[in-house]
Amino acid sequence: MPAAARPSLALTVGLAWLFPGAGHMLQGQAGKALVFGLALLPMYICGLAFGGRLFAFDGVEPLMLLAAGAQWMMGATRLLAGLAGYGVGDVVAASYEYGNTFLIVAGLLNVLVMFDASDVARGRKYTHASETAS
Amino acid sequence: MTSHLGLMILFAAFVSPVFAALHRDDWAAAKRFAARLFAALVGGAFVLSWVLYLAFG
Repeated sequence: MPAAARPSLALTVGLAWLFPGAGHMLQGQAGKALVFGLALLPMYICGLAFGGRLFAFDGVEPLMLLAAGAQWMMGATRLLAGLAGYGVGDVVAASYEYGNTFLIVAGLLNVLVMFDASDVARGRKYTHASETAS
Repeated sequence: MTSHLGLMILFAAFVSPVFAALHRDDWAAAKRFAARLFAALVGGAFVLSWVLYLAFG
């Protein structure tokens, strides 16, 4: 995509935060966008299904603060899950810690996806419509 | 799902394609990278668990 026709950095990163893969979709990398969406969204949903907890920003517990920050990196997914009442956290469930891990890692992976989308938007990474360049 | 093995495999299955798509632009190379990463995550966990079992089990 020519630099002049490339969507703005802020919009790309914002969309990438809001929906995993949306930033790459905006930059014309539909294949990668599909991979990110199909991996990170189900990962987050699995985390909730396994009894994981959506952490609140609590300054008293620094680790919970970090976990909450990581979970919020999933943007709209985190917002909707919170509004729908999911992520109460089933502490006695055998998969509780796994659920937390899935939720946190999904958010952290989306941070990497956002960085990648910003690199594409700045023209630091080679982009091609067919995504076949190495 | 409460199987540790199943959860570990599921985790590796989610993580591998994301890293592959981030690190490889060529689809064939990305598929190979994802397969290798998946095998490394699952295989590494097996090896580590055996080491821990033999050392402390």
